[in-house]
Amino acid sequence: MKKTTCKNTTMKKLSEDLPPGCHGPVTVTGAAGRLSCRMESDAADIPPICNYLISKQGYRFASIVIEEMPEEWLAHYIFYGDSSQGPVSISARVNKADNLLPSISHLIHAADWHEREAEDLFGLVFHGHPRLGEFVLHEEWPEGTNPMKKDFDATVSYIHKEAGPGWHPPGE
Amino acid sequence: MASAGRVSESGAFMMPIGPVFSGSAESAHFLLETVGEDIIRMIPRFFYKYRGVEKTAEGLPADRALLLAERFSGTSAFAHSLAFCHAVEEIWGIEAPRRAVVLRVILAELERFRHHVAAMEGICNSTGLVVAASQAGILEEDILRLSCKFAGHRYLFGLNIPGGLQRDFSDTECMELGRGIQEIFVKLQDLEKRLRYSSSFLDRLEEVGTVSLEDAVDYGLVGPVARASGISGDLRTCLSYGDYGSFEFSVPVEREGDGYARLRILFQEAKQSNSIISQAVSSIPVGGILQPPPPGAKPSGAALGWAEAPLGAAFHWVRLKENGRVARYRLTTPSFTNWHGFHLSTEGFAFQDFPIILATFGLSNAECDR
Amino acid sequence: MSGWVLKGLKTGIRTTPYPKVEEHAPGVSPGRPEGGVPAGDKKPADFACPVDAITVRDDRVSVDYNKCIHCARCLPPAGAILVKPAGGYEWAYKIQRDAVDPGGVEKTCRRSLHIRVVDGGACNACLSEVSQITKPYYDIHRLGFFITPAPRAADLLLLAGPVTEHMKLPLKKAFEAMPGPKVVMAVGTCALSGGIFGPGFASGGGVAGFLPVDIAVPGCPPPPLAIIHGLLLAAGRKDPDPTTSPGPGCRRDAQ
Repeated sequence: MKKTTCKNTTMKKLSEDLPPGCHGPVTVTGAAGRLSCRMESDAADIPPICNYLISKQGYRFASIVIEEMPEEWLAHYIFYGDSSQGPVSISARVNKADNLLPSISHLIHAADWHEREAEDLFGLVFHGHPRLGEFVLHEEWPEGTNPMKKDFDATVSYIHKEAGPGWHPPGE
Repeated sequence: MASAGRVSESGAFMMPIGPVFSGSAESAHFLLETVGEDIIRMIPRFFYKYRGVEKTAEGLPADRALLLAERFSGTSAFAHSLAFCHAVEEIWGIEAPRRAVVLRVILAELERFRHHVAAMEGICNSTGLVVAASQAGILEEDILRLSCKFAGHRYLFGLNIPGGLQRDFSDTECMELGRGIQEIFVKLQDLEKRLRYSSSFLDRLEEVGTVSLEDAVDYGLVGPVARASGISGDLRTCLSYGDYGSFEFSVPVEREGDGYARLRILFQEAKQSNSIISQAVSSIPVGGILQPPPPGAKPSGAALGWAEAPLGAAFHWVRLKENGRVARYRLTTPSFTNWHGFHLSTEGFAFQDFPIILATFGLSNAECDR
Repeated sequence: MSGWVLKGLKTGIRTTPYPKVEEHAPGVSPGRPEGGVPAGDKKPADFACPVDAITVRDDRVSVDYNKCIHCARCLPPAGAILVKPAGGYEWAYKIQRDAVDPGGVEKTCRRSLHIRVVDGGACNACLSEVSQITKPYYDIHRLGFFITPAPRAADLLLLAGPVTEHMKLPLKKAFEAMPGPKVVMAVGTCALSGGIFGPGFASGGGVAGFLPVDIAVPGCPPPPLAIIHGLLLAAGRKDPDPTTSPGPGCRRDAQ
């Protein structure tokens, strides 16, 4: 996608005027098409930036998109507001060896299930998330199965554990 | 604080419901902690219908992945295929011709109209008002038959393709559709009027299943459920797409957040859909209906496509490779967002209200589980 | 309250006369592509059906309805190798029976059949069509068919959806809870061949490998009249069409 200058007048200044709690650097680039702005930062800056977008700029949380790159995980957090500005995304990269992203669910409750889904399907850990555990994949799946990872072969069927009919929700 | 696996109060009873329950309900599991009649906690468990759509899409050509986008949730098929097409069209740098854009608006609103009438039928059924449910059922089947006559499929499958539509519709057909929807809408208004004066029906909906504005904002609820609680967001206006900017319509908002507010929103949105369809069918631009993708190697990249599905905001994030195949496909659906907040509406209400609250939300498990 | 009664009486009877009389109202069925000599001037060998439902042999095109998902890409104007005749909804067929009488549902439930609907991961279009059969236009109650929430009281298990991994156990338990005689009806392309989802890691290739299927109703989704046709076959009130063969991918397990 061709990068152009950022169309979003508010976000343009973000790289110089960092939100409170941010250490930087935050790169703000334009994005072609309907996304008005793309930002990239360290993983540690994700919670303060998301908090800033929600509480100060009135954006709403849309989604977390996790992409698997050869050596790292790329996480995009997507927010949207009114039509004059279009959606914005803030992305962070973490090494596969670390496998850890900071949770934003204590700030944005709507992100709770997105993080739980990413944990179940990718094996990522969201540090600070109150309750991780079985969510998408039920108890029949072997431990450590992460279907969305690239090394998972989706065309074969898997040997599943015998599951009983009862279910207790994962507790604290 | 009580552990999720044990009752939190003495005398409480954990009642499991599902995944196979009721007449023809979707598969989902609800664990209700009840003290007498009152639900004090509701813990849902979903993903019984997890089909791994995001994984299955990887490596598929875009037009094959479109079939997945269309069919993972059959009752919002057109809206999701539209959002997917928007994402792919943005990556490929193509724009659907104006005729296709307006036809897409007509089809999307037709789907919304049908979906809302089906939801009304579900609400009337859940409250036991059988005649009203039958009236709504008749209207729903009328819309399905009208859709089939117009578009060749009752649920509008097989219409969207990246770049436009697979087939065209004559202006006469469109005018006929507009007239048909208007006739159905008149009968729907009669139904609405009668329901407004059915006090036993309203008793079961008013102040039942309330979701406050603060909770709705906190959980990021979308769609008619959020609008019933006071959040005015609608992707057709706040992230305007298609040609919605050139049609006059309003987005209804209520304040109470209870079951009756959600029903009123459904009626008002159906009215707006009817209005958009009648405006659109009388002013369809001439021209082609498909902008084909660039020949040879296609641009690669990632884009976000969105559409206001009948249940709320749907976001499809797609990354395509140069060979036009999907590298990553992320689906965020309104049901996924709203099921998260569903427990708010049940806690504190009677156990007997549970099916009614479930019907007023009208959410889809297929859309959530993917 | 009397307002509703009068309204109901004024609305009159909307129910289809099927099966006494064929239903011809427009829009009751989406129709499906018809095999045979290809139409138009596009070469069928150049056409790739997204779900491999189309086979070409000696210049004749045949469609496997167990796999067809009604994407309309083989029809004009997109593909233009097949035609879609209007109407037609008697799509259900019986699976080849073994020598041993599988259950005797036809004898005991001829006049009244109780149905337990199980959603094995269906997209909702099939479930929506299944829910239409209790609504005024189709009203299966007049035929003596009822949807029951209890598997213990059911004679027929109606399944929609490719069976997802998570629904295998609930489905097995629902089937085992049903007392004999019982039959299984698989509704929709997903239940017959996995549709566009399966077979894969999270969903199966339909229910045939998991439960013995007696009646199959292909379609994506099959219209309510096709589902009613399937129910009539199950109750022995319609004779199966001898020209319809079961097709690959849907065989009854020898038990």
